[in-house]
Amino acid sequence: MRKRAFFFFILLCALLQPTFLDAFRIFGVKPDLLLLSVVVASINFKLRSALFFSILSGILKDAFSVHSFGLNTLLFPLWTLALFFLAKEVQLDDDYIRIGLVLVVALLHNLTQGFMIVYFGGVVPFGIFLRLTFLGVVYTTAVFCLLLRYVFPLLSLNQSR
Amino acid sequence: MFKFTRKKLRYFVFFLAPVVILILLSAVLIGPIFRLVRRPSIILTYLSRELGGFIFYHRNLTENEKLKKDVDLLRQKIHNLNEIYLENMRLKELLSLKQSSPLKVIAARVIATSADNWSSMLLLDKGLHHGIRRNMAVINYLGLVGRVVESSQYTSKVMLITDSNMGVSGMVQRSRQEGLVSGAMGRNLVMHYLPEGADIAVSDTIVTSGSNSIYPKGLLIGKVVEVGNEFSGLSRYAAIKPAVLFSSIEEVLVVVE
Repeated sequence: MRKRAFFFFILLCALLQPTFLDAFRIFGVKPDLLLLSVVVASINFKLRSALFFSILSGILKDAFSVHSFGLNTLLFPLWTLALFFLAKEVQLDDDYIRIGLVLVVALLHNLTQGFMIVYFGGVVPFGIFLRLTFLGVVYTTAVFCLLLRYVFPLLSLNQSR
Repeated sequence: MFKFTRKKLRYFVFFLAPVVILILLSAVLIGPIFRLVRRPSIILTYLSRELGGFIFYHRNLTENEKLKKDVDLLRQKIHNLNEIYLENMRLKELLSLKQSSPLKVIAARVIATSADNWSSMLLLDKGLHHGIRRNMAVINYLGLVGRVVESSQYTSKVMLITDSNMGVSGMVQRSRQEGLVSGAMGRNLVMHYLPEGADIAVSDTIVTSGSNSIYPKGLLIGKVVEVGNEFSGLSRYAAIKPAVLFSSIEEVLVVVE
């Protein structure tokens, strides 16, 4: 039941991300709901399910991007694996730790994406690079706090696997 | 038989005289009388209205609900009409461009934008089935929007000129000075590879040069807002404000021929 609900949650995020969220851009930056769903899946589900959800999120995100198809499909399962192994070493039950995790994962993800674009010849001025990276991280984390408070309890996603 | 005696006359005058006096003074007295009556009548009206409201509470409630629904419906209708009006205006502008332009174009609607912050993309509701192919230029009535980078049966992806991976061969309309216009993920575009003595100035208009087969010659790109020297010092660059307002694109034209 939880898995089915989360599956529909990811589909909803994939629909909202390229459409509705455009209205909530701040300085050209919008939160990354699919990245959030990857972190939440990694914390709440077993490895197989979490990998399935992260690959699904990656494919859905890549479908609505133009740069190097497959980057998100590749990176999302990597974050899942990293979080899974981290969860073996550290307790991830506290909300503040989860918020911190989102912050770190979003930062790494944004930096990787930005560097990949530059590596493939894209021109991104340094100021804009910083803005997209750090504002994106802050915005995504802020949205995660809201979801943690109001949405995830509805999906029974506040307890660890 | 009626006998008009002195006593009766006295009584008659006694009663009739005040009536006559009142009739004669009515024009003067009416104002103060109304003033006197006004306050109690307001209170009584208020009380009777409240009482009526109390007695006919249920009837008023249902009527109120019905009226509220009607208001909502009418509001919705007004909103829809406004939306249709705005769409009509936009389509008229597109149609006028379509008719006046020598280019063969297909009109398409924007259904989504990029999912991440690192790319500038539009998803159109038309694709291969409608004749849209990869590397076709996309414009709207304001100027160049981008080019088609992917086309499926019923949708197409358009990379905007603001994307950092985008490069358009442009030229200054006034001096015919050519350069490469590319996006920088920000509001403005950058024109690179301008020689040291390039004839370019602020507020010059930049159009496509037609050097490659994707973009027809003369499509408006934007206006120069800043001219400066590249970091290497070997060439100059120009910051260009795009003619198209990318935050509010709803319909575009794909240049087919």
